[in-house]
Amino acid sequence: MLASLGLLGATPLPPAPTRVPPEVLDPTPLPWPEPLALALSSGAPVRLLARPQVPLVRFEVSLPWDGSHASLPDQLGAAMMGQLLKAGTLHRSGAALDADLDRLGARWNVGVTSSRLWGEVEVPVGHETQALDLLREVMLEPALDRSEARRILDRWIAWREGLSLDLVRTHSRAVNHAWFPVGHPSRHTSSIRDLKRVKPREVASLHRRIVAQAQPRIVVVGDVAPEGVLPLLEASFGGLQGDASPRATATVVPQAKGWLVSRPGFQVAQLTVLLPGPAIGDADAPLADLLMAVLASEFTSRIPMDLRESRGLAYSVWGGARSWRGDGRLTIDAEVDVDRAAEALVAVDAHLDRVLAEGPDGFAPAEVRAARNTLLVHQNRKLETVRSAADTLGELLVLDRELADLRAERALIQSATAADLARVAALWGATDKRVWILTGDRALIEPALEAADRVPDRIVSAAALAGEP
Amino acid sequence: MIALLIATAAADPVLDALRVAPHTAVLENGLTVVVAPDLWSPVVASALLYRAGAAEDPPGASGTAHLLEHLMFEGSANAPDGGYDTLLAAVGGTNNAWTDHDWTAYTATVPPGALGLLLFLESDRMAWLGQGLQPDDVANQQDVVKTERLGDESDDHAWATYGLSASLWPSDHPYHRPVLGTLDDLASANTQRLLTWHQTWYRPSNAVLVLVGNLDPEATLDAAQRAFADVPVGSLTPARASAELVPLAGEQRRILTEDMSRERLYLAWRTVPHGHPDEPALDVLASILSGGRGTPLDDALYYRSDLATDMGTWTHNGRLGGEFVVYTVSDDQDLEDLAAVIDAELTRVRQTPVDDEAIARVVAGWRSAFVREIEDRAALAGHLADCVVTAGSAGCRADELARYLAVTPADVQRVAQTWLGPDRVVLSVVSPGEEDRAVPGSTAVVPP
Repeated sequence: MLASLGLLGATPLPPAPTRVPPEVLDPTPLPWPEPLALALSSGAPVRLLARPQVPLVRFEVSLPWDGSHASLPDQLGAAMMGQLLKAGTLHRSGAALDADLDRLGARWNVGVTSSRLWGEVEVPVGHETQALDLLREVMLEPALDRSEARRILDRWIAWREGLSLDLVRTHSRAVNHAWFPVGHPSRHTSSIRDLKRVKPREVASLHRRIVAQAQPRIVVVGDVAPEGVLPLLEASFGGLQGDASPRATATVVPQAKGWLVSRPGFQVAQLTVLLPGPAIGDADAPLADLLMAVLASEFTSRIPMDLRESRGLAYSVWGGARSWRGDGRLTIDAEVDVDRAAEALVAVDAHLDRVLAEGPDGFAPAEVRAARNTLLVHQNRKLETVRSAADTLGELLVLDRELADLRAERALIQSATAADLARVAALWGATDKRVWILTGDRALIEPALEAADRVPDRIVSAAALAGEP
Repeated sequence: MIALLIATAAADPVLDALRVAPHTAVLENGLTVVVAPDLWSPVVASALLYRAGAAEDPPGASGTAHLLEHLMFEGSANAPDGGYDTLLAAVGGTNNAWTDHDWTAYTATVPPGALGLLLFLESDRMAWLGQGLQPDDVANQQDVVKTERLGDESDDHAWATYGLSASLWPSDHPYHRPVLGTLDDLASANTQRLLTWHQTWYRPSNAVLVLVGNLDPEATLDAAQRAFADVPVGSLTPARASAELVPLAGEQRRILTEDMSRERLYLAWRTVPHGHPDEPALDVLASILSGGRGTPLDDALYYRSDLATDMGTWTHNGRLGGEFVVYTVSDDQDLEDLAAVIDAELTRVRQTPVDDEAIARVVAGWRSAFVREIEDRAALAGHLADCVVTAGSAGCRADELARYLAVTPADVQRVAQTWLGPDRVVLSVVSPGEEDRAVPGSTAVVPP
C-alpha cells in the first residue's frame, strides 16, 4: 500500500484502524403486487396495477402489427408514421396537441416499431380522462398531414446524408450490416432513393390497416380504481377488434468475421463484438443475462474491469443480451483510445476464449454470486416506479407473458450455477460465430490489427457503407 | 400576495407530499446525515456530497477533483483492490459518481440489508483512501480520463461546450477550466497531489450523506454514527474558490473549427448563481423559449421555416455564477442569419410579457417532475443533498417547487431584460472549409 511504500502525501495520516466489512446476506426476491387482469368488451386485455402511494397515473397502449414481414415501403411508412403521430390529430394541430398535454403536466410519447403501434401518457391523478382522450386521438385519429410528412422526409434525408460524418452513427450502421444479412427485416435497408419514394398518402393507408387489424393491449398503473378507468378505456379503445400478431423473424446464423470501418478524424474508435444469443421467450434468456453480467454488462464485470481499470484504454465499456422474436444477440461495446483499438479487440477475444476453454471451473463463486445478486436487485426494481411498472407489465402483455413468468426467471437466476453459465457460454459463444466491428481511423488501427494477427475480412469507408442497402 | 401564495400552497397535495421533513443529524465529527424514510422503496439509495469540485483544483492542476473521484473506487485501507466496487457488486449494489465545478457526489443503491456495508465503504474511503491504493492506480485512471476527454473531443456538442465555457468565463475563473482538466495537467497528476487534495477537502464536516429507503430514522442515524465514528475530524477545511468577475463588455464573437457533421451556433449569457431568487424565472424562460411546437424558437427556426435541424436552451446555475444558453444546429444556413432569428424572438420576450398560458404549460411540467421524484429515490437523494448545501435544510423541495409555481409573466420579462442583454458570447462551431458560415468577426477559441 502507498503508505508503507512511502508514497503518501505531505501530511502523514495516522494508521487506519483495522475494520472488517460487515457480512451481508444475499438479497431475496421482493413480493410483487399482482395486477388486476381485466378485459374490454372486445376481449382486449387490460392489466391494472393500483399504486396509491404516488399521485400519478400512466397508460400504455399497444396495437400489434406484423411489421417485420411488411414490405419495405410499409416499413419506411411505419417509421415516418412514428414521427407524424406526434404532429397533430384530426381535431387539433400539433401545437394545440403539445399545449393541451403540457397543461396536464403530461409525459407522453407515441411511435411505431416492427411489432406494434404504441402510445403512452403519464399525468398527475385527476387528469386521466383528458389524458386518455388525447392518447386515443393521437393513436387512432392522427392528422398524418402531408406537408408535415414532406418536412419530416426532407429532414430525414438530410440526416441520412450526414450519416458518414458521425462516428457513432456510422458504427451503429456497420454493426447492423455486419450482423443482419441483406434482406433481413431488421437490417437498416433504406437508401436515400427509398426514402424519396415514401408517399404520405400511403402512410395514412398503412395506419388504417394497422388499426383495423389490431386488438389493443393496455396497461394502467397509478392511483386509480378499475371502476373509474375501465369505462374510459372502453370508450377509447373498445371498438378495436382485430387479431394481428407479430411473427418471429428468421434466426440469424452468423459466420465469424471482422470489419474495419474507416472514419478518420477522431481520437477514439468504436469497438463491438457480437455473438448469437437467445430469442424472446427462450428458457436460457435469464442465463444469458447472467453470463453477460459476469462478462460485460456491469461496471465490475470482467471486460470493463480489464479494459478500463487494468489497461486504462477505454472510458465507456458495456455489454448485454438483446432479444427479438426469433432472434437474439450478445453484444460487447467499447469506446476506446484509437491507438489501442487492436489491443482492446484482442483482450475481448481473450475473455471470450477463456470462458469457452475453462468451463464451469473458470467461474469464481464470488463472481457468480455477484452476477446473481445484481440481476436479482434489477428484477426487484422492475415495479419500483409508475413508469417501470407500466413498462414491465406492458412488455409482458405484448409478449403474452405474465408476472409469474418473471417470478420464474428470478428463481432461475437465484439458483444458477457455474455449470449453467458454462453451458450457455458454450451454446452461444463459439468462435466460428463471433463478429467484430471496429470503426475509426484506419491508418492508426490497421497496422496494429495486422501485428495482432487480426486481419479484417472487410475494410470499408464510412461513406461507402452509408451508400449500401 | 404572500398570504394568497401560502394558502394556495397549503391546499396542494404535491406540496404537502414534498413537505415531509427528512430526519437530519450532525455527527460528532461534523458529518451531516439525512434520512428520508420511504416505506415503498425496494432499495436504499444514497448520495454522499462533498463541498468541493473542479473549482478547487490547485493552480496548474486542473482535473484534480475529477481524477480523485476516479481514484475513490480503487481501494481504501479496509477495502483494498477496488473493494468498494466489488463488495457492493457482490450483494447486488450499484454505484456512480460525478464531479462538476462546485461539488463531487457519490451515489449508490443497495438492497436494504446492505446499508451497513455501504456505510462501512463510504466511511473507509472518506478517511483512509491512501492506505488502500496501489502504485499504478493513478496511472491507470489518468489513461481512463484521457480516453474520457478524447471521447468528448469526438462529440460535436460536448466539444462545443468546452469552447463555450472557455469563451464565457475569463481564464482566471474556475468555470473556464474543464472539469476533466487539460491533457497536460492530467498527465502531470500524481499520487501525492491527489491525496493531499483528498485530505484537504474530504472531511466529514465538508460532506453531506443522504439515505432514502425503507429505513427507521433513529436506527439508521445510529448506524451512520457507528460507521463514521472513527473518521477523524481533520483540520479545518480551507475557504472555497471565489471569483471576481469582469463583465463581458459587449458581444464576444468566437469561432471553434472542428470536423463537425453540422454547423452549430451558441448564444450564451452569464446569469445568477444557484439559489438566487431569479433562478426559477430564468428556468421558466428557457422552457418557454424552446420546448416543441408552439414555442417561439422552435417555431421560428424549424416549424415555420426549416432553417435549423435542432435547437434548444439550457440553464446552469453554479455556486459562482450561472449560464443561460440558446443553441441551434443547421445543415446549410449562415449562422449569422440564425442568430438574427433568435434575437428577434428574444427581443419579443423582453418587450412583451409572455401570457399566463405559456407559464402554466411549463409549470405543470415542473410540478409533475417533482411528483415523479418521490419514487425516483436516487434522484431524490441527490436533490436532498443539494437542499442541505444550498438552502441549509433537507426540507427545501416544497419551497423550491413553490418558487416555480409563483413565477409570473412580469418575472419572466424582467429576467429576460436583466440577464439576456448585449453582454454575451456568440460561438460559431464550424467544420474546416465552412468558416464563411460563422458569424462574421469571430476570433478563434482554443478550449483548454
